[in-house]
Amino acid sequence: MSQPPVSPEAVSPSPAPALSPVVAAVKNQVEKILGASAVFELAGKLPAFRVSAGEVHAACEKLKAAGFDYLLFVTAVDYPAQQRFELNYALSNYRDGIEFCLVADVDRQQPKIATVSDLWITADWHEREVFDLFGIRFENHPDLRRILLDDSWDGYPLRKDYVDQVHDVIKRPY
Amino acid sequence: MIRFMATPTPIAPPAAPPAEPRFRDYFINMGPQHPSTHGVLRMIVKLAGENVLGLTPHLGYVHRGIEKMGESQTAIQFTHLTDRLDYLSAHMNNWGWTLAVEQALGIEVPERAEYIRVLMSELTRVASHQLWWGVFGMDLGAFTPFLYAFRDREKINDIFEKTCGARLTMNYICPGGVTLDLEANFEQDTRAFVNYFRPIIEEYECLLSGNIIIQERTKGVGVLPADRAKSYGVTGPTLRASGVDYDVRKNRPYGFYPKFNFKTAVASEGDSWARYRVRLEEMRQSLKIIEQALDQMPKSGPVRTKLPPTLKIPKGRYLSRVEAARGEIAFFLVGDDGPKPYRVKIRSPGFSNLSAFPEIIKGWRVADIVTVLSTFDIVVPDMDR
Repeated sequence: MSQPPVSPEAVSPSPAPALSPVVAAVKNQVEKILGASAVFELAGKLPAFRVSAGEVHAACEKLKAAGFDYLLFVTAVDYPAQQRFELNYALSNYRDGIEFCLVADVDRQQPKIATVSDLWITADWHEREVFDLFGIRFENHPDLRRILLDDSWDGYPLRKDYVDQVHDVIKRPY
Repeated sequence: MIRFMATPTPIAPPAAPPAEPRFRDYFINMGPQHPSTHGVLRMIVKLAGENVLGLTPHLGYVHRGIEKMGESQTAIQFTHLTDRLDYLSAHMNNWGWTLAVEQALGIEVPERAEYIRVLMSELTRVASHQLWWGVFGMDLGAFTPFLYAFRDREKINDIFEKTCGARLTMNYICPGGVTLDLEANFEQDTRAFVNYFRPIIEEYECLLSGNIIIQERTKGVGVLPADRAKSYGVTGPTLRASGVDYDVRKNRPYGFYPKFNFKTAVASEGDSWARYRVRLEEMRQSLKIIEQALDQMPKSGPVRTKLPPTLKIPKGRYLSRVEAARGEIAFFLVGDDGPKPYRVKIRSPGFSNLSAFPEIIKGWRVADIVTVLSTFDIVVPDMDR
């Protein structure tokens, strides 16, 4: 967790800092499985691999076959300025605690993506949660209903532009 | 106006028995207010007579939007909300969130604070399993275990109260270390508790484990096979009872756990009885960790790193994973260089664990719903967030 002191020269945009051995090992292992279609990106500490929305199911199939038997969660992040939702599939296995994210963007106007609940059943409920709170449709999902909120709830609360009409909090100037 | 009863009308003679089968499928609601759901969980149970044909859980009665709240306050302010997830694993939840923030900001934690975190987490685990053991007995109709468990859990709560000032929602482990140093008598109290409680676990065994009713109602009931458990993302004692030796403390160590000598409790049967035994064994292992931590801990020293006044979370993704009493809790944090998180995702263990429940309860009886749900050890605010 400790970081060596960074000299001012090293902060300049290039060259990219060397990956930590753990991240480099994850990168090598997953790039071998996914091939050229996945783009590695490291912002923060969790390594991520970006694929297009159409390739998510195929990529997940490969990862599942390669021994990633543990899907921690599926979630989304809203980026309204760029008109996209970013779906995050946090993957691991039940052995050595390797972890990374599979990331895909979906269009914010017509958000939909193929389900992966046929690979990991846990995705069933996690995708229902994303559907409930973000309004992203998962195609071929066996049972796409709201899970936490009431069926009559208006809107998708975890979207950034959501305004709670019922419990509207008074915005104070300070 | 009072109407007096008229002369009784003669009751019609019983009609001929219906041609259709006498038992048809029907639905009943278990919950939201049901003692066995330990909170407000509603299950729609499809029954034929007393046999369960299917079960649909309905969540969200305690949904408070904690993830959304996380987007509107700073990392430090959010810490206390994590207590409110799984209120029986408050220290572990604090720790999970704290790890994510510390990872994002590269904060170092003093050595003494690392030991305190382990101590508090393991005491929480014992307290949580004590409560589970008590209510498990009560769910099956035995009231005495509940009183025994609460008598002993009270001692841990007292230890917490002396140091943290709270008994349930601690808000004690925080970015940079822990909020306060331990109370002066902590070590003495904790050692006294460990020495007191070790023989008490055997008393628990005598009181409940050997009981023929408990064994008949749990052995072979609600079997969760290992491959299904993995696919459902089940973690914690529920998973380990199915024969998968996976514990975040061992498989992806965090904090000072690699320094301690302990075993993960594993059973292979996957039934309710296995889940019961795994939790009792975990209490013993936790006591071992507590003793080792007390021996190794430096007797004094700083417990919190000085932090900058505003914690700006650098742009990017961060993931922390912690073994709570019910399984793996993970915090996924997305930062955007601002003081508030851009997105907080909480992967709660109960949510994934419960998703496996409808499948394994099929074919059992109504009374087994209570047994199996009890051995899953769910906490509803944890699932609903």
